[in-house]
This record gives sequence, structure tokens and C-alpha cells, in this order.
Amino acid sequence: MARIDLVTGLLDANSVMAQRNKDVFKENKNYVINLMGVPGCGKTTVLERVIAALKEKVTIGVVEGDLYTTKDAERINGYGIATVQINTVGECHLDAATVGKACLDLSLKDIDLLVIENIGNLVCPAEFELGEDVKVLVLSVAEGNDKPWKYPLMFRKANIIIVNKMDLISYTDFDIEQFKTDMKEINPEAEVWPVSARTGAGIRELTEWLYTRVKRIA
Amino acid sequence: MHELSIIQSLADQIESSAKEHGISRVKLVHLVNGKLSGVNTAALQLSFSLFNFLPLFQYAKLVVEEREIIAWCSCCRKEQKVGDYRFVCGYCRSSQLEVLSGQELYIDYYEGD
Repeated sequence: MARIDLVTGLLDANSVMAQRNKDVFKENKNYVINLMGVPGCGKTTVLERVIAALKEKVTIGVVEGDLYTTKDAERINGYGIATVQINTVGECHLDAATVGKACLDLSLKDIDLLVIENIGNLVCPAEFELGEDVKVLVLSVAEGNDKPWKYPLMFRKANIIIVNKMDLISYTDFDIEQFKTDMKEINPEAEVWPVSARTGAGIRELTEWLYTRVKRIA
Repeated sequence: MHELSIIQSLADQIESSAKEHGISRVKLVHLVNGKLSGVNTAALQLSFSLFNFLPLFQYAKLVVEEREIIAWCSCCRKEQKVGDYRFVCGYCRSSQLEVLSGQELYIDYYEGD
């Protein structure tokens, strides 16, 4: 019987690919967002709002991750935005290699802001770095303010939390102050942006902030 | 259920290492999984059991060692265990905790002949 000490990480292969993506994005001066959240939280609608507000000012590219359909990519394409679709066919997250390959279909050198819309899931995407500058998590008030404690890794890893569907908050038990207090314990560095993608409330502040970030890189 | 792709990566790594060391039967795989890795130990065990169709892993047992989240407070300079994912110092209540360990997920060693 032999004992072999390996001491190798199980996500090393993904980390190597993520670093490769990061180098490519840096070379092309892309500001890259990994957009995450559960199905139905409003990731695509928030993205549509951001596109409408920024498309005259910066060149935007989108990588749409979806299990099976091209519905979201069609929505984004309607804005005249360069979009590539990744269908993971059942896989619950995007990984760095898949994203790197999809980006070959985009003219990255012409893009200022690249948004990667991940698969709707609060668990798996948290562990797979894609080479992004920032992880943005969309949470809707209908999901409840207890989610950070139920999905701590995701809330720990996110840099920005967009609390969406604020227009519905009075119909829910979502306690935004409690949510902010909880976030200070789980991830004190994260920024919390309450918005309503439907009414447009809070979107201007969000896009202005995003614009300064993109300009810093481009 | 990303644990399945993680176990696939484990199987690939051990397979190539076993070939190198002339090992044809793996008996034990020792894995370290931090509580902040986001990977579920029970799902790892289930995924691993699906690999016993490969002769190399037919008699293999997976042992997962779970590691606590350990952090260091840069305010009061005390090391401590972080329970319930509350990243607040247990001594001075500051939120300036730097995570020292708990995020790891790696194959420590394996045994076979």
C-alpha cells in the first residue's frame, strides 16, 4: 500500500482558466460583471435597464448563460447589443473555460462593459471565478431577507447586492434594515443597492456608479 | 449539484497520479473541505460513490475532513473560530475579520496499491 500526498485543489483548473480570462479582459480594457441571482429575481430586467441607460455612453457586450433557451439572449439582442449565448444543458453554473470560449465570439477590443449573466442559482456559481472584476448579486424582496444566512457563500463573495422589486416591498415581510445589518456581519465590504427594475427607482444611481467604474478602466 | 463536476476533477487528478506511481487500486482518498468552500460533504460522498464503476475506484473510500472557518481580527488581533457565518469579532465586535482558513477544498492524499 502506498500513500501519495497530492495536496492539489479541486478548483485549480477553473482558477487557471479564470486568470487567463482576466488577462484577456485586462488587455482589452473590459470592465467585467458576473451577474448572479435566483431564477426570477430580475437579473435580465436589471440588465435591460442598465443597457438602456448606458448604451449611448459605453459599448456593452453580454454573455448570456442559460440552461436551455435563448430567450434572454433574444431580449438583450433587441437592444442592439452584441450577445453570445451559452446553453449549459443542465449544468448549474458557468465555468471559466466555457466563458473564455464564448468570448471568442465577441469583439472584446471594442467592448467597455462586459456583463456575464450566470445561471439562476444561489449556490454553485459562487465557487467558480470567471475572471470578472465584480460579482453582482440580484436579490428580489419577494425572496425574503433571510437569504444571506441560507446562502452564506454567495452573499460573502458578492461585491454588490442589488435588492430588486422594491416597488413590491410593502406586500412582503422583507426588512431592508435587518438585511443591511445582516450583510454587515456576513460581508461588511459589500454594497447594497435597493432598486426597482420595473419602475426604474434607484436605477439612475446604480448606472452612474457603474459608469464611473467602467470609465476608470476603459 | 456542482459536487459531481468536482468529483470528476478529483477522479481525473488521481487517475493521472496513480498512473505515474503504478497504482491500480485506490483504497482511500482523503479530502479537506473547509466550511466556507460552499461544497456539501454529503453530495461529495454521493458523487464519489458513482465512480465505483471505474476499476481504479471500485474499492475506494472517500474520507472528508471538514475544517472550521478561522479568522483573525485586525482590530484586537485575536484569532478565532467563526460560527454561523457571522463575521463579527467575538471579542471586540468589529467586522474587520480576515479569514485565515475554511475556504480550502483539496485532495490531501490517497492510498492504494
